[in-house]
This record gives sequence, C-alpha cells and structure tokens, in this order.
Amino acid sequence: MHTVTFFPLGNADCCRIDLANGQKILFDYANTRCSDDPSDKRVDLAEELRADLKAAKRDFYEVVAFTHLDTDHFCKATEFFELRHATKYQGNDRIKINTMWVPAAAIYEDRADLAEEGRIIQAEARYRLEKGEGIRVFSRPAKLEEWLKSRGLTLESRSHLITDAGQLVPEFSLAAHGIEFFVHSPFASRQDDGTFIDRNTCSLVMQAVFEVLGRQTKLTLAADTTHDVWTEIVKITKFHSRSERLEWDLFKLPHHCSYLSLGPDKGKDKTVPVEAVRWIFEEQGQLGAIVVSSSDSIPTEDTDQPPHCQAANYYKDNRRQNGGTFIVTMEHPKVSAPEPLVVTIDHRKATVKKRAIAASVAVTSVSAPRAGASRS
Amino acid sequence: VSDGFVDAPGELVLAAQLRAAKARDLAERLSSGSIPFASLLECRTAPTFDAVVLEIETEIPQIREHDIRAIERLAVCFDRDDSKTPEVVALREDFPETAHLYPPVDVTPKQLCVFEEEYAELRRRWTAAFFVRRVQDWLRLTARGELHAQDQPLEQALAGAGHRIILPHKLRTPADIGSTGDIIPLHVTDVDEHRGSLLILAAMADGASRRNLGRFSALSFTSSPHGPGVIATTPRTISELHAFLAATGDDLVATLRNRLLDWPRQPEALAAQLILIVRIPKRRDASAAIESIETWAFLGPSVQEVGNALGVWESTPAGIGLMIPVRSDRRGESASLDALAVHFRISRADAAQLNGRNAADDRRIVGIGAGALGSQVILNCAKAAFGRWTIIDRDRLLPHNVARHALGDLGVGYHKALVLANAANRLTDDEPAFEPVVADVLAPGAERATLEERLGTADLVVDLAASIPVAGYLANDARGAARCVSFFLNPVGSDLVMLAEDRERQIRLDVLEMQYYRSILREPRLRDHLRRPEGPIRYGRSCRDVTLRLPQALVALHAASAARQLASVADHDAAVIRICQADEESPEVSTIDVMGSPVNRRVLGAWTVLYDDQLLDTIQRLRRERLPNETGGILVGSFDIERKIIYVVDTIPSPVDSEERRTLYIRGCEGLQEQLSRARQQTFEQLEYVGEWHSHPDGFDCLPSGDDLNVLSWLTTHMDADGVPGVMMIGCERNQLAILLSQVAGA
Repeated sequence: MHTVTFFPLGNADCCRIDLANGQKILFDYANTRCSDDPSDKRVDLAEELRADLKAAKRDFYEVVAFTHLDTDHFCKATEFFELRHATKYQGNDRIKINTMWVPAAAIYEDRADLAEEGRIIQAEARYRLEKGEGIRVFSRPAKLEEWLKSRGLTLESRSHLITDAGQLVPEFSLAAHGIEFFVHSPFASRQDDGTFIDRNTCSLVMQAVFEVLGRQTKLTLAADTTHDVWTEIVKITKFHSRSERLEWDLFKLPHHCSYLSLGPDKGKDKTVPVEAVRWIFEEQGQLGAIVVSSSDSIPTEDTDQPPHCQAANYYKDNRRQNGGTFIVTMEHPKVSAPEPLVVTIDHRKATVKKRAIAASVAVTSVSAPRAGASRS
Repeated sequence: VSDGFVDAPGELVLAAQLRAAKARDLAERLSSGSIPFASLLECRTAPTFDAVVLEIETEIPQIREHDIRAIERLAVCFDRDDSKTPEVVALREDFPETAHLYPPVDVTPKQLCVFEEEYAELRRRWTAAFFVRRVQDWLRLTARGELHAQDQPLEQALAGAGHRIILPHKLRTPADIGSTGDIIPLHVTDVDEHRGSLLILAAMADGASRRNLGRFSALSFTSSPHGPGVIATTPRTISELHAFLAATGDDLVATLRNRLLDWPRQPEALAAQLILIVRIPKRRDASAAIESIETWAFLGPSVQEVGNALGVWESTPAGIGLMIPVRSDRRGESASLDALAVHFRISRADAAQLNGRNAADDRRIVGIGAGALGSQVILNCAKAAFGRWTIIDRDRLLPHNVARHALGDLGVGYHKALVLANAANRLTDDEPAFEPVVADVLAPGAERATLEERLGTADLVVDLAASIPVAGYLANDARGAARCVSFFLNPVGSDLVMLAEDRERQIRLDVLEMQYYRSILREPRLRDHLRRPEGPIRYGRSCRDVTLRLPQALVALHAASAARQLASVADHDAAVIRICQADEESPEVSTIDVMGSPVNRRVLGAWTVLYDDQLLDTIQRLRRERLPNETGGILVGSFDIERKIIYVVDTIPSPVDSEERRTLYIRGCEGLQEQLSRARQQTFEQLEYVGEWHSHPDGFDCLPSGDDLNVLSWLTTHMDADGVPGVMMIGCERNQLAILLSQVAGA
C-alpha cells in the first residue's frame, strides 16, 4: 500500500508520497506556520515530517521536488534540509535530499523578486548540477545550455540529469517501485500552425501513476498551472494520443483553488472552465476521484486572493456529479482542527483515511508534556 | 415521498430527554462535535429503548466491494436498562446485503452485526468514541469486502430462529461425497432445545452410524456448481429454494418427489420433521475447479406436509392418499423453511490447524498408562492431532480417580484405556486414531500378541505408567526398535521428569533413570526432588508413586508441559533427561536439562556391568588430581537382580582418613556412612553401595595386584551376604579401566 499525504499549511504546498517499498518523495516544502501564534491552525510541517522520518528510522528523502521557486513552495526549506553547497546548512539533524527535482528555470532564471531562501535553493540546485549528481532538471531550454556553458559545462555532459516533458522520470518504474512519473511541464513545443510555445518558465507538473496488484491509481500534481497552460498541455497530450496521461484519481489543484486555473473569468457564483480544463475535470476524472485543494478554507464570499469560492463551487459540483470528493487541506477533517490528509492507495485505488485514532495511540505516538515539581 | 431513508423507530425527543445513559452520551458528544467524522441527526424514544440517529462519514475506496456510501445514516437503539448490545440499524433503503448483517438480510432496514463480543465484555470498554470507531471499521471493511477476518471460516448468515445444526465433517469437502443431484440421508443423533432454539446433531447414515432420532429426517442435497456471490434472499419455502437452484439447472422439487415416493408410509416416518441440507459447490467461473462448498440447512415441516406441498400425496383422515399423477402445480409453496446456522465437526487436520500445526501428525505411538498424568497428556495430544495412539492400561476408572483423571465422571467403572480412546476419537470426525488395549504391559496374557505387534511397529513409545519395571521392560525386553520416552511426577507432584532415549536407542530408559538419580545427587536444585510427601507413608512405596493428596492443577500443568515436550522431543535425536520444577509459591516453572551420557557395557560371567562416560571421567579426574599417588572411593549404583545387571552410577570420593601413597590405597571411612545414607535418601533408596574403586599410578597397568585381589575377596565376603556381587574398578593411565566382580555363592 502506498500513501499520499497533504499537509494543512494554508495557501502553501507540501505533498509526501510514501511508497510501499519504504521510499519517500516530497513535493514542495512550505512550513508556513507561525510558531509563536497558538491560534495558527496550520501544522508544524518540520515536526510532522521529522516524526514520520523518525518512525521510519531514516533521515533522508529519495526525492524532494521544488515545483518552482515561489515562497509558498519552499518556505523554511533551508532550515529543514541539509544543503550540500555550504557547510552552514549541514549537520544539526538536517534532513538529506538524495535527489532534488527542479524545473530548468530554477537553475538559470535570474529573478529580481526571488526571495533570499529561493536564492539559497537555487544555489543548491546549481551546485548539484555542476557536481553532476543528486539532481534532476526538467526541460532543456537554450537558457539552460547557456548557463552550463558559463560554468564551462556542456549540455551533453549533463543530459542524463535532464528529463523533458512527455518522458518518464528514469529513477522510478511501475515494475520496480510501483510508481512512475510522467512529465507534463515545463515544456516547449512547435504547434501545427508553426508557432512555437515556450513554457519553460512554468512550474513542474507531473502525473504520478501507482500500480498495486495490477490496478493503477493516477495522481496529478499540478503545481501552479493556469488555464492557458492547461489548454496547451491538453493540446499537446491529445496530439500525442496520450489522453490517459491526463486521467486522474487524485488531483492536487494548482495555485490553492485559484479561478485562474479554470478560466479567465472568475464568475459570480461559479467559475466556468475553459474547454481544456472542462475536459480534464469532467471527462478525465475516474469514478470516485478526489480533488485536493491545498489552501486556506474556502471563503463564503468573493475574495481577491485564492482560494476563490467560485472556483471551489465548480470543483464541488464537479465532484458531486462524479461521485467523488473535494477536500480542502485546511478544512480536513474539520475547519477548527485541520490535520494532514492521508490518502491510501492500493488495489482498490484511493481511500481517504477517516478513522479517528484512539486516544491511547495518539498520546503514545508523541512525547508527553513536561511534568514535575520543579518551578522554573 | 421517500427520501431514500426509513425513519428510526420511536418519537422525536431532544438529546437531553433520552433516558438511556449511553444514548444520551452518544447524542451529546455527537452534537458537540467531539467525535470526528460523525454527526447527530436526531434522537428518538420508544417504550423500552432510546434511539440515536447519526450520520457517519465512511472511509471508502474508489473501488468498492459493497455499495457503502461516503455518508451513511444509522440508528443506534439503546436498551433502556442497558441489558443488551445496542442495535445498529442502517436507515438507507438500498443499503446493500453484505456479510455480517443480522438475519433476515433481505429486509429494510438492515441491522448491522457490529460486535462479536458479549455485551458484558463490551460494556467494560464502551465509550461513544469507541462505538463510533467500531461502526466506522465495520463500514470501512465492508466497503472493501474484508470484514471476514482471514482466519475466520466463512459462514452463511442465514439463521432464522437461531436454530443450529452440526454436520459431519465429510459434508464439508467438495470431493468424495455427493455428486450433483444426489440426496444423502443423514442420521439425526441428538437434539437439544433451549428456550425455543434447537441444536441438532447429524451424522452420516453409513454403517457405523449411531442411533437415529425418528423425530427428524435429514437429507443432504448437492447442487450443480455455482459461481461466486451470495444468495440474494433467504429462501422461505421449498418453492423459493427450488427456484434458486433451478437457475443452474437443478430440480429440487422433482428430486424430493422421487424421494418421497419411496418413503416409508408408517405414521411415525411421515410425522418426522424434514431437515434439508443444500450443498452448493462454488467455483470462480464455469471452467474452474470447485473451490469450496457452501452449505445451507433448513428446518422444514413434517414429511407428510412436505408431501402435501409437493403434490405427492394428500392427507386424509386415514393417513395419506397418493396423487397419481403427481399434482405438478404444487411446488412446495406451502412448505415453509426455517434457516439453520450450519456448523461442521472438525477433522484431525482441522484440529491440528487450530492447534497451530500444519497437519495432523500420523506417527504411530504406543502410550502406556492412562492414569492422571497419562490421560491428560494423551488427550492434549489428541486435541492437537499429534500421533495415532495405541493406549495400553489395565485399570478401570474408579470413583476416586476422577479428581485428577482427564475423563472425569464420564466412564467411571470402565477400563481407562477404553474410555480414553473413545473420548479421544470423538474429538474429531474421522476414522478412529486411538486404539485401546486393556492389558498389563508386564503381564499381557491374551493381549501379548497385540501388544508385541504394536510395540514392534510403533514409531515412538511413550511410557506414562510411572512404573520402574515398565521402563525396565521397555529398555531391556520389549521387542521393536522404537524410541521410548518416559514421563512421571516426583512423589509430591511438584516436578515432572522426562527421560527420552536417543533415536538410535544407545542410551535407554534404564540407563537414563540411573543418570537421573546421579543428577539428583549432583544438582543442588534437586536435593529435595524425591522427598516423601507428608502424612502417613505406606510401606514399600516406589519413588514414582505419587501422593494421594495432589492438586489436579499441578497434574494439568505437567500434562500440558509433557504434551508440548513430546511434540518437540519426538523430532529430536539426542537422549535427554529433563526435570520441570513448579515453584511452590509462585507460578514459575524452571527446567533442569541433563544430556544423556553414552553408556559402556562389560559382561562378566552371568552379570553385565553398565557404566557411562561420565563415571569414567569422574574416576579419571580424581585419579589425575592425586597423581603420583593412588586414590579411590566407593561406587554407588543399582542392581537389577532379575536381569543380572549392575548399574554403576557414581562415586563417593576418597574419605579424609584414607591412605593414599605411590602404590597403595587404603580407603578410609570417615563420614562415609553419612554420605552414603544421604545418597540413598535423596534417591529414594534407588542408589546404593555397589563396590569399590581405586587408581593405579602412571607406568602401571590395570591388572589387579595381589593386594587388589585381597580387596576383591574382602568384597566377596561382605557382598555375598546380600546375594549380589561387588564391583571392583581400577582406573589407570590412558583412560584404562579394569572391572572385577566378587563371587556370589551358587552363581
């Protein structure tokens, strides 16, 4: 049995995949909780992940993917992970990353708005790529080649570390690991009409396919994709007759339930999706499929920032009509006390864990609070 | 207008108005939101119970075995005086027919069988949260089709009025018995009724069958193979059952009609109530092999009424009148059927599995002695299907025996071997694996041939007779090469002794017995092992006679231990002596293991001297310690005068007043008598003085010197008075040992 866990982090992302063989893969890491605010209902991500690693008796992840360099995808990652490029990020029980996954832009882009932590992660990714180990880069635009040249390296010498859209990530296979990763984005493509679309600055979008006892369960990890990018992804996927690569049983929504991932207009009560997105949600979702919004709880009225209630209304109706579920990380299991959302995957496909744990299990799985007569 | 749900019973009330405490607690916790994934809908009250209606969010996979929905509406009915398990009812009208529902299952609303425990047990752990978790588990596992735990036999939940039937094991296996369309008559051998619910015992009606209660007539019908899936609705009449079976081409009505035409027409035969057993072979698809047999049983009306319902005959004041031709419009509509819960008797293979063994163990075992310990060891083995036994015992079970005998009062007055074999055979439903032989092993009389044949072909002989002569017979006289294992208790019953021969039988029971005595002398923990029980002592007791005052619990403890050891020692090669000591004050049992020491045999005239390597080692060690001088001491052991065997077991080393010089040894006597008498006492007089030994220094051979021969003649003078020879041993360099025997007059 595999599990996929989404953490309640507000409008921020972290999704952990635990494979049946014990391997652990993390998609993004954003520990957004304010530790000095007791009313903050977001979980302490570092604490959650450490407890899980401790139980598994390990101090590393096989893979940590940073889908793109926005703060809501790497917040406080530089405090949690061991980084190879500078000794100050090493030791002190930092968690090791065997292989880092980043989109090509994370290597070469020189964004003025890149946060300090983003620069550190970029430095780590660049260091690993220069060293030629512990990294996988997605897509190979000319700018990546330029950057490599500037470091005295060739694209050929690093091509084994690069995977393009439309390919499977070579480290995992259904036969050996029970999972494969198909890359949708970033991408660049020459269209039939001769135009060239370049989405190399886009975030990492993947389809993870699990297989248990011959039955597949498909997870779409959609990073921060907008409707126009979806339209292009659908077009390319259909062109290559690979519509099964956009089938899904579990869908991590892009950009915290923003209407822009559905269509250009927010709508009054409900966002109307563009055709490509409509196709994804209304025709590609499998029976009983689950949509996960990694976001704050859905507001009751119109807001500027996501999550947008109009987008949520679309997803809710869509799931209701298809016998599936729409789950918001900050609302699961209840708004007043969100907890990590655990989805198990086996030969019966996806199941949302709902059993309340017994108190004895709860208290013995953590340290007891301090007790004793000392008055400090 | 239906909203897809049925109403819970009772009048609507507020949570605070509920009178059953558990109902109120559940309702309040649900409404306060303290139970995750569950919420309160409404509360109701009825004259004898309160009901809480709740919605539970279920954990369902995308692919479901049963149509459990993401949210299920349930009513929980709490008995007002909390005397029985709260009932959990699914209010959804189209809630699926799953396993673990209370019958009848084809009704709305359905009642979930959530708890298997007795309510008295459940009550101790009951909290609202516990309850909701259990219901969630039921729904989760049912959705996945996994509610049957893997080791639970799959049983058809058809039982109507709570009647049960126990069927012979043979009917459980697809092979052998009953091909499609066959009807097999069964004998109903016993019926027990308790508050309107029946327990019916049925056996094969073959030659060996026991009495048949005429009150019932049982028939077993085997249908054509069916695919997977359970029956949708419980048949309530022969007609409905026929309709179900007709789907695969079986004609139950015709089969029954033919059967009834041959039925005896006596009033009592017609008055018998019909029990109909239907065996349905199951397979995955039409080409696959039969995987299992699903068995249903029904209690029908009397044969006479069945005949009426099938149009075979019609009741008249004078009896029955045959309908010729049969009235084909009557197809059993009026013959109502009451479902019986089906249980099967177990086979030896089942018994082995239930005991955690892979298969029954069919090695041939001769068990001698069916007393308190023996009967309990053998029954333990029987329950685990360990061994096919011949049980040999000469005694009858007398009233005082029942205090500690496995059989209790059942069989008092009969021979122990007979009742024990019978009890063991009745545990399982297959060919008898236990054979009784009523005989004294030492004086078998008419049973000699049987006994010799069984011993000769046995794979293992288990001596439970608590008799030194029996062990001696097995070691020295019995025919056959089967390895022997003895179990007996010490006189106060605190210790269990196991003497197990090696597979090659190089170290036999008699030698092991001697080594066991030596252990008693050497091992401080065994100092009191053979102490006499308190109270009056009978004259001439044996050390294996167990006190009459001994708790059965201690016998049971040791019998359990013996049965466990038997199973492991049987697959082990080496000889071993094991003593299990039950602590007097605590429940602790500690174990002392002594490996059997290889035995040496020296035949001297009419006598055989047996001594083991360990004695040899002791003599050589003492000799070396005193070099260059000589040393010596007395030998202790035992005489088997009947078989002319001298067992030399141990030595009491050189007393302090002995003279030990380069080529001279004069054995002193200071403290010797005390030591010897202690040895005799500790071994319940089993070890005694058997002779003398001394050493020769390096450079000298083992040949007796003139002085040595003088000692021997001194020994002769003294030992002859007792009518036994004395042993003289001389230990020399290179592990040489000379053995001489003093003369016995007339020998």
